[in-house]
Amino acid sequence: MFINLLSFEIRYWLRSMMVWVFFFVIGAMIFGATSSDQIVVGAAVSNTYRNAPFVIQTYYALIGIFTMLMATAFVNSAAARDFQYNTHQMSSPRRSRSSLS
Amino acid sequence: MELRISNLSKTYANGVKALDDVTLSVPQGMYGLLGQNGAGKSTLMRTIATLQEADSGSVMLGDIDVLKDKDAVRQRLGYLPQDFGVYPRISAADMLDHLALLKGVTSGGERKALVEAMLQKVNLFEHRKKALSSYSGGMRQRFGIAQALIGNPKLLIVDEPTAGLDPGERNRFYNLLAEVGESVIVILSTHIVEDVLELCSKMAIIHKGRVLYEGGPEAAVESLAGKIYSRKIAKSELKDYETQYKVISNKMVAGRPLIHVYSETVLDDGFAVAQPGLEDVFFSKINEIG
Repeated sequence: MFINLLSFEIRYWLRSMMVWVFFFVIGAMIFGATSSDQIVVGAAVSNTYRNAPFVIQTYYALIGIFTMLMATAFVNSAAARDFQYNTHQMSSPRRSRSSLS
Repeated sequence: MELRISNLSKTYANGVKALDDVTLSVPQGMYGLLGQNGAGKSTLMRTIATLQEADSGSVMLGDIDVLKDKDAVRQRLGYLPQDFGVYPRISAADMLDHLALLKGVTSGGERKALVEAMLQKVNLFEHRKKALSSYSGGMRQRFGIAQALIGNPKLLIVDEPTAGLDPGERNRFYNLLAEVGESVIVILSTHIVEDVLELCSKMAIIHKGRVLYEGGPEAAVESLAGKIYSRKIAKSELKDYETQYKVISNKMVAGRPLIHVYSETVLDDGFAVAQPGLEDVFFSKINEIG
């Protein structure tokens, strides 16, 4: 049941414009940072290689923070969707406890 | 299976008495609930559909206590809400599949077959890939019925299903409902009087939370035979007539009021005997005439 619900959510979100915009923005940020000296993500430390473990770790940390904030937006919207679109009267699960097992 | 409602009462926090000692027994087949807007129809249906609590009384579906054993009821229930929305960016087939999952159809293959069968049944199969948000009112309502029919419900509750449908769509919808209603309990609420007469073998009239009439619509109409008189009058005379006679209803016909009057004795003076309709029954019950 949980797998079915998860796959429904993923398919539903992939149809949403917002997800692709977020993907694009994050992709562009990291692409810029790794390919150009003008764009800096995280603190720039001189005398490090562009692909040094420290630099890559910094990217991960920063992007992790961004995406965590985005994830809250997505989860919030999934949780509130039935009430937002007035479908809660139809979609109350038959056995409430089993819906997450 | 039979649905028995006894002494059901509900008062909202703002003091509105939505249900006042309602006792009904609903047999298999189509059952009409007739009442004005705000009469308590939706409260009654939402209570039976386990979506809200009653203050007192009991509801029994066969030998299931509806107010206590909610899961057992939900497994046997199909509910079409009065107004419902749909998710954006989703096709009818996907949404129906999702709702079937929530209703407990966990096997993927079974669900796929079920969704297709339901969409065939309500004539939406060719539109199954279209976004639900682009559906017309009638199509959306038929989708609502399809979702209510998932899982072979024994009790089907439809709350004002024809609000906003054009006459053609209304007929198609009712044909569909009548087909389903042969084998299960269907409770249909409406404020459109003719719908009940056309479809239901039993009905109840609800007004201000109380049941004013329970029985067959035809018997109710017959009970008024020969007691209803109609007359066209001038607009200015309406007040006089209302004090002098038991006026059941007045409506405009070609710009002049046509009144229906209840009388045990024969009226002449320009009155003509009118064929009573269910509308006369409805208004005479809620205005406590006759």
